[in-house]
Amino acid sequence: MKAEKMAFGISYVETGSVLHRLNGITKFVLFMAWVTVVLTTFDLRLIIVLVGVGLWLLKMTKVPVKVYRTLLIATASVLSLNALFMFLLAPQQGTAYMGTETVLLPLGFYSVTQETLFYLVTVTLKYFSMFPIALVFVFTTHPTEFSASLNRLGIPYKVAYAVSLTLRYLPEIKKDYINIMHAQQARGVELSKKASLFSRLKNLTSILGPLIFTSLDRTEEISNAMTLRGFGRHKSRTWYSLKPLMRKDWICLSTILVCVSLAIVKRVCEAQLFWYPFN
Amino acid sequence: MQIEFSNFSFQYKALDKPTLKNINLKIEKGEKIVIIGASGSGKSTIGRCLNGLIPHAIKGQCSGQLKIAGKETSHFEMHHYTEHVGTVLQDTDSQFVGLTVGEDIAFALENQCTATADMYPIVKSTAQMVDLGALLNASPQDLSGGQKQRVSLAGILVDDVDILLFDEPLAALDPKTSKKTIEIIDQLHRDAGKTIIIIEHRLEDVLHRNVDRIILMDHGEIVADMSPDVLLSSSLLTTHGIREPLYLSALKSANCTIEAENKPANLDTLSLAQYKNNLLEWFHVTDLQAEQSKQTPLLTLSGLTYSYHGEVNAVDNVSFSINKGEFVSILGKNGSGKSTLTKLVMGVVEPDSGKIILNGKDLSKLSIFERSQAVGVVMQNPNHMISHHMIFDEIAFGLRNRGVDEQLIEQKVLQLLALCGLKKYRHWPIDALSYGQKKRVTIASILVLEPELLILDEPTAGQDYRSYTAMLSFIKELNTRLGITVVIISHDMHLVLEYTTRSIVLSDSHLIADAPMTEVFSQPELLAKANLTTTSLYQLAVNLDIENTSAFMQCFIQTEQARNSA
Repeated sequence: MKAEKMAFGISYVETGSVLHRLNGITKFVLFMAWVTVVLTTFDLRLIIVLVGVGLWLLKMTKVPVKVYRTLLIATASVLSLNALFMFLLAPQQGTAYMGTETVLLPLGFYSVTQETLFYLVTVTLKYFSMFPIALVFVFTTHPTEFSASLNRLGIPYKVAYAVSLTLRYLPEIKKDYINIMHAQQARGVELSKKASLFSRLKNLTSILGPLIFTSLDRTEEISNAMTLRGFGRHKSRTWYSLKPLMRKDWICLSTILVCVSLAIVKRVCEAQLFWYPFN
Repeated sequence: MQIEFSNFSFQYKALDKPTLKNINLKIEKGEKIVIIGASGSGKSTIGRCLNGLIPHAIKGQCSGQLKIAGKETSHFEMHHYTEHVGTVLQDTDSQFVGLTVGEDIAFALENQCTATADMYPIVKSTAQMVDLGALLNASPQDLSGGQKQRVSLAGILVDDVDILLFDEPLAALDPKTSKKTIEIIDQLHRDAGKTIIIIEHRLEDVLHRNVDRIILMDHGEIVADMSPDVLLSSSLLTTHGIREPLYLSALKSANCTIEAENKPANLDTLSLAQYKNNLLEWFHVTDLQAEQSKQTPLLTLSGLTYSYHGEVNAVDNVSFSINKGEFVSILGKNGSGKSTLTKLVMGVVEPDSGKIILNGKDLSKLSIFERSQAVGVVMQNPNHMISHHMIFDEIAFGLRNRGVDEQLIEQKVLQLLALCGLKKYRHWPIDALSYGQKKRVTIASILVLEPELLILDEPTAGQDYRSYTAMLSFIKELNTRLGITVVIISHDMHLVLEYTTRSIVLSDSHLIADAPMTEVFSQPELLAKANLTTTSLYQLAVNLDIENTSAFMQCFIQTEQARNSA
């Protein structure tokens, strides 16, 4: 296993876009609202709108496409594979939901019906629609601003800070991991494809041991450093990176509120779970 | 009286003996104090008692009294300590808790519930105090070691404490940045009138600026509490395992008697007139013939280029050779490409262009493990290398992976344990060892594989003078007796001067020098490019109007070696 020659990671990217200037709270609420709406609906029309808006927002972050292209393709492939397995496990699921059966390709038990196809497309797009917004959130929200927002929304600050510290120290732990891996490889721990899967897994433990110990050492040092600077002294704390909510945030928040309410009303009033136009 | 220890003792919960024994120490407001001592002397423990980590975060048993700002500390909460004492920790990376410079500086304010709007002006003005005004939005990865240190300092200064405590502030810094740090600390002492306490074992670097008193510790006790001039004219440093300033070693080697009234604390204040005759008599030009016999190349790098992200080259067209039996140093500041070179030789990254030849064989076809048969790399952090619980297993690991017969393994490991002075620990768990001993275990675990070339990355990091001298004399012996070729990567100038004969200097991915060490050490501009500084030995030669500074250093090294082997 050679060290990767690429900068890795999906993390905050400073581009100064409109979305970056929104408050962390607004973006977090948007993300949560988005997930709520997606979970309540099986309406393909709404889902297509969500995917479209999501991708449009992603473009608005001004983050170069090459940063997330691989991930986008990977997610799409995993979801397609997922759809295939869903078909293999329950080929008649769509018919069960829609109540009709229009066979397109008769293959006995695995007959492809129009209903199942429609069902699979809806479900796959439904999952996919959460993906662009998650990226938007990660790309545009500074980790401590995120913690500050969490705290503002009522999560205890120690928990919220743990989130931001994890993000702060991930690159360091990755560096440790690579160093340890190199040291072990040089002493004959085979991690490449030459070794069997079992011995590779076994060899991986010789990296995890030192990694856990160095990480624990690190944790102790950080916690001392934080104690020395008064962390945990009061029941609450303020946040340097917390920005006040601006007019544009309130506008966004109200819009989000309206949309979520509408989505919930729609869900409650709907007679049928799936929107299916071919009945 | 700002700080007063009276009959103070402390014992860590996990240890069976006290680490501090009956400490009596007074520090006045506005004083600048240095606490020195070997590892395990208790100097860091004193620091922890002052900043409240003992007893609040680290448990143990205290007795006696400690007063801070006239108040008895036994009833102190953690925040009472932090109101008086600001601590800059050794590892600035772990002290950096924010994701940007501004946020990190504001950390203490956040914890005091300062309103967000009030923080910005305070953070800004504090950042300007330490020259970071333009970097408020930078993240820790984008900063140099020196900048990180200044961020830590600013993070303490926002609190407006009276006492600043520095726990080994120079440990991770290159010589130029060390000097700069000492200058900033001195400025804070003079301009802001802070009480300064520096815990360090690199005494010469700390004495770059004046200090009031030095507290020398050994085995949990204070063995000296005196002015730098008095301490340096005594023999206390040598007896307690502290490296004395280079220029003083040179003076002593030339049979000069050092008196406190000659102000030996700093080379600039030291009056040389009375020593001049002795020194000039002692100085003689020696030849470098011994080294010229080592001309068979072992490792040759030619035109080596590598970049991590395809943008900036981490190593750019670097070529040099290491000859069989040499002891070579590779110098350069952080990020200059030193560690990338090691990675290329190890084979964990592949060069974009260029070749690595070992013993006439191209390495590009060999796997990491195959290369490790001939090239042993000891990494800076021993915790990255150690993967076993018992010392014996750790050292035997590489041999077992090679499939060596268990009986032969036992024989080789025991032999090596004896050689490294670890024999009595062979049944010990590794956790029970000190950092320096762990480092020794990692060296043993590489040496047991019998490499032809040994690469040591920052061998002195985290170790005191006594333990690294023992370790390096051992490596030197391997070099002279068994002919193992050794390369050390370091910015410890003293170490490089004492042990290596040739230096390769990298700066911004390019090779800027490849010459005998003494020659490199005689070129201030060249050294400055790599964030290094000349040693006080060079300065001494200049102050004595000796033109052949290189020969002066050579003469010093040879007398030292002759003395050590005698």
